[in-house]
Amino acid sequence: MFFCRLFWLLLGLLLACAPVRAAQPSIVVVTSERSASYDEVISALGDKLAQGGYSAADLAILTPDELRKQAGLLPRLWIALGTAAAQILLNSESKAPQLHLLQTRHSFLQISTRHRQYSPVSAIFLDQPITRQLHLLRLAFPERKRIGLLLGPVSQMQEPAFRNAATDLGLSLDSSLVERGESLYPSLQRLLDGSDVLLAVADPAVYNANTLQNILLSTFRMRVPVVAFSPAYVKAGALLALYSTPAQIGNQAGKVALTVLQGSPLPAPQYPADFMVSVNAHVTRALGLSLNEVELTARLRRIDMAP
Amino acid sequence: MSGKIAGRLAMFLLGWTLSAVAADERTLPTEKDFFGEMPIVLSVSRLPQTLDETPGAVTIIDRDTIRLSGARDVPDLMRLVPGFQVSNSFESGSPLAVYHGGFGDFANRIQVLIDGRSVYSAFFVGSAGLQSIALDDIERIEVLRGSNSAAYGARAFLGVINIITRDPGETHGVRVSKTAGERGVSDSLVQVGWGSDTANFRLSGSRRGDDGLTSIYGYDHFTNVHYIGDIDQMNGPYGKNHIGVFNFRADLRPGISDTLELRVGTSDQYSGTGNNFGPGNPQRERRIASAYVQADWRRNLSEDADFLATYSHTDEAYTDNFVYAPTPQLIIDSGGNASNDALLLQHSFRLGKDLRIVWGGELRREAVRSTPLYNSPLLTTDFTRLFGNLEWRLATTLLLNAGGMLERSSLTGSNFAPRLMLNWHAAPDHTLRIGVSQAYRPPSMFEKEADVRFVVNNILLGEGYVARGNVVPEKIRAHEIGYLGEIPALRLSADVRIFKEDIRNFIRVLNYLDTQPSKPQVAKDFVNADNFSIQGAECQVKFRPWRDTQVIFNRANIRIDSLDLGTSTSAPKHASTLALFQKLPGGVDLSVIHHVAGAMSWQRAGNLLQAMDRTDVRLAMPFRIGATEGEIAAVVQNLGSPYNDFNNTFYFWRRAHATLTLKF
Repeated sequence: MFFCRLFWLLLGLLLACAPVRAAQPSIVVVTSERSASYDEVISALGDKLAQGGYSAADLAILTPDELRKQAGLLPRLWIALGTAAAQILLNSESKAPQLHLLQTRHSFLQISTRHRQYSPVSAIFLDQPITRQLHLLRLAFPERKRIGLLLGPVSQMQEPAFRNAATDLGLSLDSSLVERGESLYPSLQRLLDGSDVLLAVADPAVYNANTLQNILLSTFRMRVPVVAFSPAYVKAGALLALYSTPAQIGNQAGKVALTVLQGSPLPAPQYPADFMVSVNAHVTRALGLSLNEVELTARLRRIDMAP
Repeated sequence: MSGKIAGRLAMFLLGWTLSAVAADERTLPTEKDFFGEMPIVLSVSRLPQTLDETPGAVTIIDRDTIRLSGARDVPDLMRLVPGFQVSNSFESGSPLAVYHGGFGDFANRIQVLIDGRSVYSAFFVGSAGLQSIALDDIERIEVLRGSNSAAYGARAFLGVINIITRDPGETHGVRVSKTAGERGVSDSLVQVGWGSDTANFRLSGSRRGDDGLTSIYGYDHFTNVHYIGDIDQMNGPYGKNHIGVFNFRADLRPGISDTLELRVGTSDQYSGTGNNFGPGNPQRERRIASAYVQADWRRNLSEDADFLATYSHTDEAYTDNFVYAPTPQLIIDSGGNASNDALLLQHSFRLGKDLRIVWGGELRREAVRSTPLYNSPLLTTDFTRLFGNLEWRLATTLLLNAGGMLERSSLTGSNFAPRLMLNWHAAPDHTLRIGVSQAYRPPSMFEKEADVRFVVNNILLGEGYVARGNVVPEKIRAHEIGYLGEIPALRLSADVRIFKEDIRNFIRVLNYLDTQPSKPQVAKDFVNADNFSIQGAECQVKFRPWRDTQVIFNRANIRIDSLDLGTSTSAPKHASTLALFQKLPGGVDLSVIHHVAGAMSWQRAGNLLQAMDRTDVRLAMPFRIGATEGEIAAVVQNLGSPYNDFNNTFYFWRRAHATLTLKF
């Protein structure tokens, strides 16, 4: 019994040391964290690479701490998962191209322009293109034309883009700014008085675990549906969410990685190609609405594919 | 003592606000904003059933309607609910609002809840709780029309008035208002709200008062003329009243899945009663004081389950005494104290997508201390309640609500109140409802244990209520068919309820000769005196022909087939209300509410009130001075001639008043 255990222990140690002795990986993924969402991205990325004929040895996965301990890595492509990893890679002097994942377009632009760049950098954003968001609103609520945006100091910079896209689609847009250090409620109240639907835009100063209760309770009371950017919001009580799953992003990153490994240059930063729509069936019923997430996703995909 | 506790509580809450400092506002969004867990906000118990899936008829009076109605208290609002009888008289302690019959001076067949806390008085002043909240604190009132004991216990025998106060996260800032007008109308309010994302607070203090109803008690025998009495000459019902109310609410979020709501409040009602025509009921002032604390803890267990624990304690004191003029040694006192403690645990969860279950239990202790009324220093009643409701979607268009409550009272034993209701969505926007329920109302402490004797120097001069204790619970079996429909194109919604409520062992006052004393006395007892049915139909139509126009119409036809005249006239045969809310240019609001009701009595045979009609008009203009929002409103209640209220010698005269509201 004891020898049996010892055998497995030694075998485990051997396997753990194996990557150190392996050849240089083609791709190094630096992940801000090892948790479920990040692992899903990595797993989908690995699957896609395997389809392209690459093995697990071609892919190294490191946390920022592990990266610091491992000098002399010379991959052909760096992939950053999340903001923390992105900042570390932007500070590295490696000449290899970098693909950043799990950042919003706005965060990516802010962070990447802040750093001196030694190498080409691109990204697959985490947030959805504005027109896709507005198309979803039109599909889900053909009667509701007045869109409300509750913005904070960061997200307010996206307001003109939302306004232009809304005008193009024949929607009207009203926005309200939550001032720094001010309670969110007056801005929300002002906004809800003239809005048929509230479109949530990621901004931790406005939408966070502490503010969500006020937002969801107030909107529900006024029967204004909330369209959010993450399934956690739908679970919490938002009516709808439009988002890309970590697997969808990992898959898209895999495709980009394959082209880079085949010698193509890094493509321009892009929005996620694939996405999901989630519906909270209980809130749908409570608001007297009728929505089907499968149908909404399919219809939105068709619009997205259209030239 | 209580001041010290309040001080500590204030320090604790202050500490809480200071610790809740907002995060850095300049932070860029990260993947954590997309992948992070969020608290379940619209949890299984927070998501209400839609109106077409509730197990019964519901009328909702929202904040806008409250404001536009020009109402000064909750009973005023109940005229907008079909099937309600309302009085503005303070003669029996507090204005009454009852459903399907004003069977007496106290509304003891309807449950009144404020944020889940029963404000039903353990003493015998039934409706006082309706006055313990400022209208400006109310988010909405859900009136559950029809017996609801399966969910709310015995006191919901005929219905429930469920008052929900505003979320303190929505009432930040300072709001003040002042109302003044005819017949002594003088109301004021100060509401202060503050807080952060995780802790919100509201303090509100209000006062309302007026000169009460006027009467034609005066009768000139020489000229044979009734004349309008003047309360200053003390020949009317001495109905002058004023009420001070204070409420504090704190909503705290100690963790991502927990909310804690704390409430403290007091109300102090002074009202005049009596007349100057005899020594048995002289003009005097009474006082009903109450104070409460309430703590609600809600824990979210998952997306599909949560748990609620509520504890409340309420104290009441009633003061009413006078010297009986013919025998000045005799002081007639009906005062006393009461208190109740209630602990409720409730678990709500979904099983799959077609089944939602709410179940729980409540322990409640009610104590009454009144030697003059009970000839006993302390009487307590313990209630144990177990309840459950299952909401089962049998098919996409068919919903079954099956529920019941098992209630045990240490005074009267156990009973079970079941309810079955089937809602069928016959077509989109059209729902039919059919159901049956059964419930019991055990006799109140006073109905079972009253012992009022007038004794001077150990000599019994007379008796009042001396209950013999033989009374058993009243029973109701209610059948109803309902329709709820919407025509979105016309912006019209309609709600119809056809009902038959069979009541058995109805409890009524009966005079008897008490032969126990050496000199027999005439005394009053409560007995199971009657079986009868309440039948009829009521409807409610809401119509919004244009964006700025809203019309509400309701009508109730009620027949009470008791042989007792007082009982059969406890509700008018017909009553209807037509309300028009119109937004005029410049943001001016115009409201006109017309209410008509046939003859009725408050269980006083020979005291039939004439058929009445009443028109209320309100005109309000919003304004803004800098950052201060305001509104000035003029209201006339009962524009036309005086109508009979509560007693056939009491009249509600026109009352015009103006209100200025400012919000900083």
